[in-house]
Amino acid sequence: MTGKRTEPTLHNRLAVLRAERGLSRQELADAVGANYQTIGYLERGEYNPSLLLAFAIADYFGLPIEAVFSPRPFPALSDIVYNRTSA
Amino acid sequence: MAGLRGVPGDRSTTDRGHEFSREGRRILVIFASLGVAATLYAAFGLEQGYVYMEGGIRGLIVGGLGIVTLVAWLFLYRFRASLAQAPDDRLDERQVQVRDRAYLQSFRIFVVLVVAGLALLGFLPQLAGHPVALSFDIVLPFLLGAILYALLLPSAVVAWTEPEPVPEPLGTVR
Repeated sequence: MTGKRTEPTLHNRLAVLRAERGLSRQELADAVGANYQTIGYLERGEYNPSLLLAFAIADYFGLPIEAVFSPRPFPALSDIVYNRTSA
Repeated sequence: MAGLRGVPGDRSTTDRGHEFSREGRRILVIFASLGVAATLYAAFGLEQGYVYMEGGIRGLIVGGLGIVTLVAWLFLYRFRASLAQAPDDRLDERQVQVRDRAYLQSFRIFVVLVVAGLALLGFLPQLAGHPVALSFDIVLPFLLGAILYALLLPSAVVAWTEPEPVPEPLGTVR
């Protein structure tokens, strides 16, 4: 009997992007056709979105998908701004 | 957004079940699940089983258990109606996953219950040295139980497994 399958986590910048734009989870959810709780699951890394949803979110923020989602942890934005590491 | 399920903005109505805390939902699941078995036992077992009870008293017990079960089930139904029974176009992709996983788990639990019921019906009386001649009266409560649990299990699994909703932190966004 095998145990639970563990999926690798897809990291994202949703919380930061939402905060920058002053968006609530409900507003983002409405814009991309998801439930507001799903946005919370995404932000906490408890759910990996489908490609469609990931593209919809990136489109909504007007960013390339790799700026919003990544298989590796994102460096802190302050580090990028002050050139302490590469993006 | 073309290609995504459903209509944007229509999904807040699919979370009415989160009015209950996880603990509250689990209490409802326990009441509804045990209530079905207890009501069936009171309705059929007390009439023809090893414990006999007069019709009037039995009727009161069946009625009381039935009402408690029904109330717990109705509250659970709000959860089921919101997620376990919702059509695809009312759910987003995560909710569809949760619903589909609940049906898989329900099927596994249902198989265990059916096997347990068959063992209770067929093997245990034989092993205990009291073979039972199967008649419709004896099989009926098991059939009713199978139907009721098949209806109850998906919403019960969703209500049991869905985590406590995490509120949005105040002050970070408008």
